[in-house]
Amino acid sequence: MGNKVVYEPNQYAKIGFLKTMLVIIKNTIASKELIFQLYKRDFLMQYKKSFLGLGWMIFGPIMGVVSWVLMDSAGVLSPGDVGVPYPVYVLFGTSIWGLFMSFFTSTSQTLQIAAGFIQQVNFHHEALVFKQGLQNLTNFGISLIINIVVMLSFGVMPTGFIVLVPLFIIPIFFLAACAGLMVSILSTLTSDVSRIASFFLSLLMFITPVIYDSSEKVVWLQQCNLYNPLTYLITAPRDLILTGTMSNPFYYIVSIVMAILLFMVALRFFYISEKKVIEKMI
Amino acid sequence: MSDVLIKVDHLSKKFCRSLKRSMYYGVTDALKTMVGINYSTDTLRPSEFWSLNDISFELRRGESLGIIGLNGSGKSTLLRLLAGIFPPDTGHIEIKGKIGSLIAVGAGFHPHMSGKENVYLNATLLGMNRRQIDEKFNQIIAFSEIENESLEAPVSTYSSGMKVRLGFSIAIHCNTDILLVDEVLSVGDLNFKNKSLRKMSKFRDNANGLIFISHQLEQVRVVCDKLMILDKGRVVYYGTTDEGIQLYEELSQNSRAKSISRIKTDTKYVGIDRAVITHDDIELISTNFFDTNNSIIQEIETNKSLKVNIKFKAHNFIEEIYLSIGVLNDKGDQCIWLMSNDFNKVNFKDIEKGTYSLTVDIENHHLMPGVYYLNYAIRNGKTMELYEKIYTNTVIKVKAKGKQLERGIVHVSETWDLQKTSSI
Repeated sequence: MGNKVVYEPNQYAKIGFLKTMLVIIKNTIASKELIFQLYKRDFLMQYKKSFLGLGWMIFGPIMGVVSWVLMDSAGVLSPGDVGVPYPVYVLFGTSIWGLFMSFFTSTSQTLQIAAGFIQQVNFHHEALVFKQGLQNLTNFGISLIINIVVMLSFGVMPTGFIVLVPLFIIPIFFLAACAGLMVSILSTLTSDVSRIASFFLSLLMFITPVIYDSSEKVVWLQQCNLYNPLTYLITAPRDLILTGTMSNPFYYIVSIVMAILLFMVALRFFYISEKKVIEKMI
Repeated sequence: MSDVLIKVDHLSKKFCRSLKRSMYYGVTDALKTMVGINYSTDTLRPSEFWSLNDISFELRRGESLGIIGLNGSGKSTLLRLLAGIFPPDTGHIEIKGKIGSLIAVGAGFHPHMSGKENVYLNATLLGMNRRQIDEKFNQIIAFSEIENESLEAPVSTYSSGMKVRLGFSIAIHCNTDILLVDEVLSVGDLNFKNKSLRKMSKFRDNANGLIFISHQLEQVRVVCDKLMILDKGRVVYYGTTDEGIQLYEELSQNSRAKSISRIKTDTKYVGIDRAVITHDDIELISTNFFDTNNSIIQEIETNKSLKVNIKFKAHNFIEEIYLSIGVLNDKGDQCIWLMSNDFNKVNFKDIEKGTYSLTVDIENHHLMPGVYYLNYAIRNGKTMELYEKIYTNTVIKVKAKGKQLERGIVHVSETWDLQKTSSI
């Protein structure tokens, strides 16, 4: 016989901040098999009704490479001197940016992707957050391998920092999931939030030096880059892997700490609000 | 509460009728929660209503509780609160033991995944781990009666009955102490329904707890030993199953009679609900049910004589008319259908201009307890042109004499006699 469970009004809001984190960790560990099953359901099944099937996992990133190489060779891009061949530079930047965006997009759909069964079965919804993360990591892993192949074909050898990629990814996931979880909760209540969020994210790419080098741009853009934590979370790993150097280690560490704290705040918000929100999904 | 598996204490749940206000309340509540402001959930704000209001009950080990009620009475909301899917707004719920919910069978089924893969997915969602699923897998498949060749096929190729069988089979094998079942046996063949009902009874007999929602009162009677009737979010009955079902039938008949009489006040013609066809030559004046004393009635007991009266005007001469009357139950089934011209039973010829009153005497109506309404049609007997076909809302409520449950389709009076004919 299992333990006694009690349901009361606003009961999750009464749990302290740190205890919430412990409960979430416990629930996530308890849901590891569910995370795998949902991952299998949503990730592998998306290719089931396709002739190319899992081949799309490779063709997608390759098409991205081809388009950047073509644009560069046609001379339509003028990124300035970035120190390495431009396609390599931009591919790394866009891959990491793409990872941030896919983390954001998928976590912003955390409740919505389970709309078919979230009102039918009670399970730990944290599983959905981490399942979404796992799905994106798989995509990123494949595009990373392709990027390394492209690097080598341009005669650029990645530095030893390449082995730290799993660590570089964590703060990016935290920051993206922070925004995504907030949007997931609020966009279930009103669709305005997801529209506003997608508008801001398209702006965000312009103020993050993903496809250009910040130092050669106008002052206001440089200022935007300076106060944007994504600048450091994206450029530091890229520069370390491509050149072995990092221009702003202090800001990078500050950005990591900020991402972790914001993620914890968003996770608690998700945890204490999600049941009240689910009842409005009818 | 050693033997109590579920204890519900003054439980209430509210929802909002207005979409805009619901959005506003949702966003403000979420933001208050975010910044740590406690807000009260025990009062209603504009446009909110209590979907469940002050519900208290207990479910003990080995008990099964049926919950019935008209649509919108709060049954499924209650089940979602018990399953922990929705949070309460007032009161609290204590649950001792592992709870499994069968609110919708096959929750999370992916259409492109095979039956086998979906068993693992759905059972994991319901709280089983891989080892437990491996152990139960053969039992799940055997109970669901899914054939081996179908097991590897995507569930999108399954019939709705197969999906229900598979989903139900997974849920019933999930090693739970308490099972919540919401109207899931409405699909599927009779054999499987019976097998599932037996399985649920066995589940209850093994000292587990069962809460069962169904509109199929016979299923509730078979499975449940206690019954709760919900009406507009409140408990209106909590007690034995047989007594509760009797009460529920009376309540639902009253509700149907009320809803039909509401239509009456809105209609253009007094006493007429829906005219399918009308004609200038014929004009309906009134329709009524009479008893044997020729008094207008709206209620009658079972096994009584009944008269139907239709008054109409003929505005032109009609050489011959055929008349038909029908008595329909609330589902629209034509329980009585009489035609004047069948085998030349009656011939109404040379209908001059004027007012007419047609009375049809029905000796013992044999109708089951319930609510019935009248329709009628007039046809030109020569040209067969349909002059009028009108579904009236002239209603009659048939009441049982004494205690009587709605079983079968006709009502008969019977006596029972059992005699021993020989010794073995």
